[in-house]
Amino acid sequence: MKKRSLFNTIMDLILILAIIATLIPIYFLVITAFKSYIEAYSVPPTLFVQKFSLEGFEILYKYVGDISRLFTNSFIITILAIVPTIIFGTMAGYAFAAYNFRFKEVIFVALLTKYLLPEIILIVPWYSIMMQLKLVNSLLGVAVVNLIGAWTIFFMRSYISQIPIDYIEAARIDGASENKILFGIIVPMVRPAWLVALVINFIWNWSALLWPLIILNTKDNYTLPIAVTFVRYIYGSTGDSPPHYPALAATSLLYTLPALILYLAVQKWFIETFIKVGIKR
Amino acid sequence: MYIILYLLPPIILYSIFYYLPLALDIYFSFTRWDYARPPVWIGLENYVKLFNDPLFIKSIYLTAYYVVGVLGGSVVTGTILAIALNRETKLSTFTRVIMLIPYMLPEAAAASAWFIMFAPGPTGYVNYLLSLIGLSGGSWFLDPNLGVPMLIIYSIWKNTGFFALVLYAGLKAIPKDAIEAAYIDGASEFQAYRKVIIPLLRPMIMFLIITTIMSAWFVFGSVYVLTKGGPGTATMLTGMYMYLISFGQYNGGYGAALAVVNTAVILGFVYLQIKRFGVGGYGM
Repeated sequence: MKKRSLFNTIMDLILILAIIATLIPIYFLVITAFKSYIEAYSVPPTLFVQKFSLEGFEILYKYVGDISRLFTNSFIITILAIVPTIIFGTMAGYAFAAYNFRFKEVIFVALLTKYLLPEIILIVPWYSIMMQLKLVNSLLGVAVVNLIGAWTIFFMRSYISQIPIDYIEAARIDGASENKILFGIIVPMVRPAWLVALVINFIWNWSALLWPLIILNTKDNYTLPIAVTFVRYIYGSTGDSPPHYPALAATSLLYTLPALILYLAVQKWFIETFIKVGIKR
Repeated sequence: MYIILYLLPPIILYSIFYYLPLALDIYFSFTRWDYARPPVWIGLENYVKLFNDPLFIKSIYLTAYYVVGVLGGSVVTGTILAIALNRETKLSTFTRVIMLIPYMLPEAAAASAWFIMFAPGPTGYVNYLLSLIGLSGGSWFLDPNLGVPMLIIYSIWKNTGFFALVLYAGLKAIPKDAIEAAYIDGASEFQAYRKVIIPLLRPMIMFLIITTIMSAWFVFGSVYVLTKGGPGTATMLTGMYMYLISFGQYNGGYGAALAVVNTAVILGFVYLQIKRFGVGGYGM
């Protein structure tokens, strides 16, 4: 009995430690966002906001301009990419889950390799393609490389293959067309998986920094992460240049909120579906 | 017929934005290209330059160090956290929600939070907290000796929740009998985990390592926000170097050569891993 409680005590301590370690950087981000420049550089630093200030947000507005446009641009590139990713992913996932055809394994593996190789190895060729398509410095150019996702295809295949094949067979015997089976039977059943795919793809596209940083070069096209890096380096372009801390924190906070709210809104459901689909072999 | 219809979008999009660019990477790696003028064919010049480029060698060395640190650290913290979660308590359910927040936070924002927290000098939060217990602080991300270890710790913080969730899902899938048997043999909970349960998690750990190794090798966003490869070149990891060459110095040909060589190195490494240990059972 004694050993068991020792084990539980240690495990509880680990959990508490994990919660603290997770939240501390976020706490400092939030308080810094509402400090004035003078307070942010006070010695010693204040652990609670002494005098509430919106100076950080004002600096962002002063240097980058209309803040709502940053949100609009970020939402545009995210939605442009997510909608096709989920529709195409469901169709391809259904094809892999419900059919047998020649070269199935080969095509599947060929699609999966993209999951492993990151975008940074493709930036030079992508830039050349965007020059040809006249999409440099356009939001469409950011989204167009992300219209399909290997993970989403893979995830939808896993989820759809849990649906009993009898449903599909029965519908086929009744003479339903394949489109009718997919959109009438499969789609309503995969809604939980859609939510997870939506959240994951939202987070990925919302986080996109490298590719937008390369092809977006005027302020009217900036997305939120570009604004964060812009503010980070307003007072010098090298890593050791000190930023305007409140402005950096304010921009990061604005950028974080939609992702954080989305995650917290669906978390219970998200974790359950992840565990259910994730462990399927 | 429908199969073709359903598979056509990924096949077309992949061909244009993935397979064609992979081929173009190889082509550009034999050219000099500044984006303004047409590429000029220069044969193997980029590759010769690459193997005599001290910064390239340094970036490979630093990146290997970073990847080993991140993977090793995240597997350890993720496993410990997954074990701690594997008890049905309210605290455990609550931690499960909180622990995924760093993974969900956009990279640029999370890195900013860390940059603010570890600000150098007496105005920094961590330096102040350390001074309260009589320790002297440091420059953290801006210290040439601490830069890469700090990037490693940041990435472990970012990854741990996801690693723990995958491993927790793995723990749930282990048959109760295997664990019961260990207890009947008189094992304590620590022993049961060490001897029975953790070895059963190996496929999940392999899955995590193989999928994370690529993204860690080519890490970019956090480095760009935190150090930009500095001070000097102290944190010049591969992803940062590729970006600087390709779009800081507008040397697309050399950038493509870097992409080709790094991809070959890392694919070769992953291939050896898979051949030796298998891909692992996680959904594959």
